[in-house]
Amino acid sequence: MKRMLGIAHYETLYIFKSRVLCFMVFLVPALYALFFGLVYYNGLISNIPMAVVDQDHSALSRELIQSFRNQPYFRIVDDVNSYDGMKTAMRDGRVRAGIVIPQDFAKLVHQGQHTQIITAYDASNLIWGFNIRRMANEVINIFNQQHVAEYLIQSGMSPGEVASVTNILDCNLVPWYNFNYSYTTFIFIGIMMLVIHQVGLFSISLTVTREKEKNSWIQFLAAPIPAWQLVTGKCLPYFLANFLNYTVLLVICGTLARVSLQGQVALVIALGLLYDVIITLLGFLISLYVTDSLQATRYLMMISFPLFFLSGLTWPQLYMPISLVWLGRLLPSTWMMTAARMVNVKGLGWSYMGGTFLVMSAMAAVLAVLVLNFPHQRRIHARHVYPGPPFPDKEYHL
Amino acid sequence: MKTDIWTIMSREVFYMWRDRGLRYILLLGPLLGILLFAGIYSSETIKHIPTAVVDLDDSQSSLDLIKNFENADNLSIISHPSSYKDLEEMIKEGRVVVGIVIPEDFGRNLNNLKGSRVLCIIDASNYIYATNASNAVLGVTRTISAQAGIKTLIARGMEPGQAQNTYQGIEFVEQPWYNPTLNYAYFLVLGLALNIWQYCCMLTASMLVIGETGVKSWLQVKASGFSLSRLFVGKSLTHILLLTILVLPIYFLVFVILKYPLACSFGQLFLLTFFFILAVHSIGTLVSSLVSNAVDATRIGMMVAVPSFMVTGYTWPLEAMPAWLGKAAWILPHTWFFQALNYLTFKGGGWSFVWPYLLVLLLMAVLFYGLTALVVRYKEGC
Repeated sequence: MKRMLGIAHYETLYIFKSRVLCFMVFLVPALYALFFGLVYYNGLISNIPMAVVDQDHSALSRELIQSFRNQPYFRIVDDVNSYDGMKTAMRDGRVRAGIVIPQDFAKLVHQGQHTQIITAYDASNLIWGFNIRRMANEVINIFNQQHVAEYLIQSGMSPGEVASVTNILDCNLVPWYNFNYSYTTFIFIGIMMLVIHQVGLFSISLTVTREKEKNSWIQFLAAPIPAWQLVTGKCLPYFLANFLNYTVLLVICGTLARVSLQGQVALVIALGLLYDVIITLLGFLISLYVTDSLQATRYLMMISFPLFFLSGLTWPQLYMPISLVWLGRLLPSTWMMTAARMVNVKGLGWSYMGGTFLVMSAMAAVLAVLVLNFPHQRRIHARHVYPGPPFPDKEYHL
Repeated sequence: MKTDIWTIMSREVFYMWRDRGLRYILLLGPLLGILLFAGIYSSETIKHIPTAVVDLDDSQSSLDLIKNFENADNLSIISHPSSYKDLEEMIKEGRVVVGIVIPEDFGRNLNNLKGSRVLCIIDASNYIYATNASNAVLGVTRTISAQAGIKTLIARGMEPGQAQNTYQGIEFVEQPWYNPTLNYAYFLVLGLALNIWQYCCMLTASMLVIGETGVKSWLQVKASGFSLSRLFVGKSLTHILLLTILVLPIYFLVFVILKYPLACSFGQLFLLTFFFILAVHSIGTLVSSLVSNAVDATRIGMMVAVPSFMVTGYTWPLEAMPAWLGKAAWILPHTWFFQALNYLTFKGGGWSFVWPYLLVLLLMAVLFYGLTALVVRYKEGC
């Protein structure tokens, strides 16, 4: 036990001695969280610049424009008022949406004839596209209802009769878990789980590699100490630091990013601990087998982005090819990102997490077996590239 | 001079090839990236959103209503739970995204011209699902509300034609510009694949200076009296050339094999990409000159490269970020590149659009290469 703590102490000293490693272990996760927290601070699309091409200039067309103006979603850009102007402005990104009201719009409506309003939007960015579509649909539904009510009143119906007609079928749309369609609520917690995963792996994946590069790993192997004590000693500082980061990042989620965290504290802690165990063991395993620190760093950096998209956190797994779905399911980050959303955003309890705990525990067990049975023979992998001088055949003046 | 540069370039290619990790990443990384993202987004749009309907009325009217939801563009009714509680469980477990609850007496209330309320629940925890599902639901609800209203007016004695016009006189036509099928693959795959490729640019560049100065043979190089500027120019040219070659298969796969739309000329896109390589490579080179070992160079370079995509506005718009951050994002060459990429691929644009972007990227490259030269001269004392 004492020797295990001795190894942990040595590792802790190394973390504090190496400025970059110390920065990575203790500051990078929080810095990433602050950075992403700022990027997604608003979380909502509002004040969308909208062009209005009113070719009718009637009371009814002004009423329609007012419906769009009354919502916080849209900001009417007054200096764009022709179709060509709208095309140019949409191209330049000065407006992201536009409505075109045709000539004789009011006249045709009063005559009971069919007329068309065009709602155009910039779909080159689908975050804009789908939000504008949703918001425009909401405004149009409200306008339609008001318009029908006014028409019926003009036809001689009493307000009570009109209400009974317009409210004959009310469809109440209720978004659950993210009532205002916040992008931050949707994405932030998943990104934080990936940050924990990647920073944890970066830090710990160098622990054995570094010893191998310094030719000091042999001392650990030769020491009369059980494998589990060696592994625990090496991993403990990273495990604790990673759990600290997990806590800090959740606090940032709930405060700066304003994600409404619904999860039960015990469940959040249990998931965090299990995730931390997996990351620590996986990092140690990588550290045992990679050839040198540089390669470990490179490969781990490269996989960050694919891990995020394979998780199904953004693009649902239902729409991915089955092979990629299974690839995603083999990754602990996928399970944790999904679990973090289910627990923290949806507020689900223990009973919904059985499968997740089972799979993640199995992952931890497999990793533990692999880590504790690591090969004890000394292997020197480090293959440094030592570039020679540019002109080996030239004479050097040393 | 020409021969010297050529020799340095050959040496650099040789050493890059010998660096097994870098070799695999450069050769396979961008290609695997494009294949992975093209695979993930292969269904291109969100259709058949899993929907459950709780029909507590079980009348002809409720069946008609369900038929309307069945006929909706993107909804797919996969379950008919018997109670609200069952539906709630299904949504909690993520088995369905949309839940429709038709109340008891729905049909009778409609027939008696009394109001009735249908509950449409959307699991909004996934934004992509939520925005797609809400659009689908809003479309259907508009139709069914209009149908119910028309029936009511007719029942109250209004002429069918007049009743129809009351509700359907104004038609709203939706026009998604530049990406008319609202295709996620067109929107994201190229950007995501190029993001992986720009990691490769950063990884390569972060070895440029430290790959020489961080190893023991550097003393030999210095002692040889060989011009350092010529050495680093030769190495940079090699990197830039190789990174340019590496991006071509991505464009070939995206525009020729997958046939994604490209609204601008390939020349414009290629030039933009080339100038972006210069800018990113210059940043990587600067990082490489500032650190004391290759691992730190890689770490710091990637710490810049990895989150940069999120702040470019390629997905979450710059306008939706805090105003100062939306402006500060333009400090990064990534923002200039990915903004122009989105514009060029979807909207096209003449040279008048492209050249300011090229100029800024070039100025960034000059600035960072200049700083690198100063740092190297200071550190190496020459």
